[in-house]
Amino acid sequence: MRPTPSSFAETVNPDRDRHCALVEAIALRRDRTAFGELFAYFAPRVKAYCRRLGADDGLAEELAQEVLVAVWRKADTFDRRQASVSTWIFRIARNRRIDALRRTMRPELDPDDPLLQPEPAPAPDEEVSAMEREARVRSALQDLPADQLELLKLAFYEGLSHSEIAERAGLPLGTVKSRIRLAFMKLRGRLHGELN
Amino acid sequence: MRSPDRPEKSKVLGIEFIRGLGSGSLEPSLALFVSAYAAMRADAADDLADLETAGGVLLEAETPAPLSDDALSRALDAIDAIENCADVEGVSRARRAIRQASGYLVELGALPEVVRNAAYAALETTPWKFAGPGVRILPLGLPGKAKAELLRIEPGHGAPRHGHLGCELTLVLTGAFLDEHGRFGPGDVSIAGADLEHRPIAEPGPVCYALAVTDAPLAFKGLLGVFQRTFLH
Repeated sequence: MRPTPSSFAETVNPDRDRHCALVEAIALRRDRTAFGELFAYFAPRVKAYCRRLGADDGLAEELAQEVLVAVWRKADTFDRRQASVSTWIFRIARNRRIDALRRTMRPELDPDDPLLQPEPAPAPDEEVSAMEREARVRSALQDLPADQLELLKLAFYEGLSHSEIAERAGLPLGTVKSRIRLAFMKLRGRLHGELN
Repeated sequence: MRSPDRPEKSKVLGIEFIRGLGSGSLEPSLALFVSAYAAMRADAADDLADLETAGGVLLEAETPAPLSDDALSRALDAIDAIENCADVEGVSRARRAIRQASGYLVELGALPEVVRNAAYAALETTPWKFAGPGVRILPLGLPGKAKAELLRIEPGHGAPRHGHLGCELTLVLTGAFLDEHGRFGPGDVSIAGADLEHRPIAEPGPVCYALAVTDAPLAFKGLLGVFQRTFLH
């Protein structure tokens, strides 16, 4: 069973251990069969991510291939205690995007935006395990109302600016900012017991 | 805008930067800067890990885009090319990098991994530049409008009084420096606008390494304007 596009209901991805074992097989044995299985799962998803970011079909496929080849090259740096394979591959794809698209960020910052006010950091607690973090993030994403999830995706996943999002969603800028702030607070698990 | 009685400048980056890195929308120099910042501050690392975890979950949930029939075989060809390459050129580049590190290799080893790797990559082609007594600068040569440099300042020496054509973000990696605005230790960020004159001097103790990102006047204007309004009042 895999998560469907609209559901993050599983608090742990059922393929999690399998994916970890595949990357480890590449690192230890240069295992091409393992690579093939990872490729079949992740390449079409990375391609979809690149399409979402505006790459055309040809470029998206090329970038997806580069990302998966990087998975092969970097397999020995993967550590399942620190991140799941999907987080790790997202990070590789994201870094590839930074290099490839070189889209310069010019956040239209608003000094009154509460997000900009440095907040007291949460006690940088005992190390949160990657599994615990993933479970919390999955359940936060699951609990978000559809409109907040959509805004969060545009802001954190696609990297659009507040005003680009306001334009796309047809919402006032202030509404966009406050919803994104709320969504981010939920993601960080800071709102337990404060809302609802 | 400076005023004599304003409180001490903030030494932290806004969450906007962490989000920018998380979603990949920062240009390479700024992305390196924020990555190094997150490597040095547990709270920023925690926020970044949340965003990247969400990115991974959303990546899994993507509707797979169909690939061309030979996609896997082309990827395997690329892998063959990597595996069969003795990388003679890579070895000679590495030798050159070691030579150009010029005795600072051990110190570089103490820097956050992202910065260390950027420094090694730069040293393949560029040596450290002399920038006044006790000060060396390594341009990191990243693409984009902003310019990233690694600074090495020996205790008691100062960064050259560079005309701030643009704006400058500086992250202290090791050691500490003092300027008119206070003391900046490991993990602290100094934000200087075009109108801000300062002459940082490295404190006695370990050598001060810092990562600096500067941008042309226009490029940082939005960011800096906000920092000045938010933090420098």
